[in-house]
Amino acid sequence: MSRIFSRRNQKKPKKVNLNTVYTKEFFDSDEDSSDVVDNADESNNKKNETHPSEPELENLQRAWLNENFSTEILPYDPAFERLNEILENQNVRAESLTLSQETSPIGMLLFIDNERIKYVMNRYKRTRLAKIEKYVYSIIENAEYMARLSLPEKEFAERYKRLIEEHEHASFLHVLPKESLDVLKEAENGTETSFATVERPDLNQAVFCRFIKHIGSYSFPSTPQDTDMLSKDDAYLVKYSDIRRLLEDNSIELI
Amino acid sequence: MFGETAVPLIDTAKRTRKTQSVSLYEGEKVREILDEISILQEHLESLNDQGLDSINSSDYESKLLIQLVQNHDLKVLKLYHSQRSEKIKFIAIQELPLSQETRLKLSERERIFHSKYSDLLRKYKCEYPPSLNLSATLVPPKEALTAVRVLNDIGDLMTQNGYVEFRKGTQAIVRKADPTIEKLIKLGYLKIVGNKESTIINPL
Repeated sequence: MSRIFSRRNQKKPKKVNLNTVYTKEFFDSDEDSSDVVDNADESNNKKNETHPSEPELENLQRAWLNENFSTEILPYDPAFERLNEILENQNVRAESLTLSQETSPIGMLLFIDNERIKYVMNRYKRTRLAKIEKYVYSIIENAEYMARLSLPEKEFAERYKRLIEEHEHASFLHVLPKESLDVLKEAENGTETSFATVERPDLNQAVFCRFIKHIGSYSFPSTPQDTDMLSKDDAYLVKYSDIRRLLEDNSIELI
Repeated sequence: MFGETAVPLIDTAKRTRKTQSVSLYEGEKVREILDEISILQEHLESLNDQGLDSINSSDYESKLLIQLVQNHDLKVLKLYHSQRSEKIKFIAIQELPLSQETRLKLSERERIFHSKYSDLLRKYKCEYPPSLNLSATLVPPKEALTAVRVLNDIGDLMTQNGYVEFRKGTQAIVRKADPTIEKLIKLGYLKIVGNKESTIINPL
């Protein structure tokens, strides 16, 4: 396997999370705006705390990127629902702040923060939707993939499949004699894959991934004779099928 | 030669792959390909009727060749139609109405597909959290407020900031993420000023 990057001997770069920086600071300064100076020490201590939306947002961002780069559909991330609750609370707060003062800077920042959260949530949903549409046939015929969808997504997939079939039938298939369609069906079910028209996820596609946990010595399924030392923050370029299981255990993220 | 009728359609599909707008539906070419498949089917049946034995390799080859061409034709038809429906879906997911120009370019079936797909999305949106807008433009948000210029008279509108009067030629500062505002921008009633026009991203 080709390791493309290792952070083992490198200094860890300082991570700046803009999201925390501004929400936390302004949250704090908002609450004790009258005695910011007096409570300087206290607010310094508070800096180590994290805002409730932060870990969930990070989870969802990871889920979105994983979804974007993996070829098959991944399990639905429950972080979406939790983030939605946080978002609603934050929205109420921002609304009440801007109600008292229309250009309240904290309120505005909360709004932008909300927009960013919404953006990630939207991208996540749209990516999944696009994927369901692309692989609709292979998802519906595979029980494992179907179990990964949320209830509305399942309904969407089934309705979408019906719609596509109906559209294709009405656009051109209805004119054709039944026998010539049978030829196509036979070829699809047979082993001659060159005839297949159903789009399936390509599990052999190469993906970039980064380890978020320390694994230790490990050999990838496609190259059992090679053992690699996998530690946190290493980046690899591997076959997707090799890291499928690791992705399920949340040991890696796709980048 | 068999299989050649599909070539113009492949060319069209290739040419319009990257364009945003939908090209004119080439019903005539689609029909030609369908005719070819039917003729090939007759040919195949006549071969079968003659009761040729499958051990004879030349008969077997010609049968296989006919099936290959049929499959190729069907695949081209599928590709052409699915490429067009992708574009129609992209219009529908942005909640844009079909413009007169686009409407004329679509086939009858595609117009039905557009309305049915919009229905499908509407049903899916019912289950979607109300604070989110599935049709929002997928551009990372940079600021909460934005200045817009009003290009067409709209009148008073209830936005998230309260009532705003949109009269032609005036400018207003509005919240960008407001679904009403976003829709008006998409429809061309409002124009963002002092900012680069946001590009539209299609996932995958």
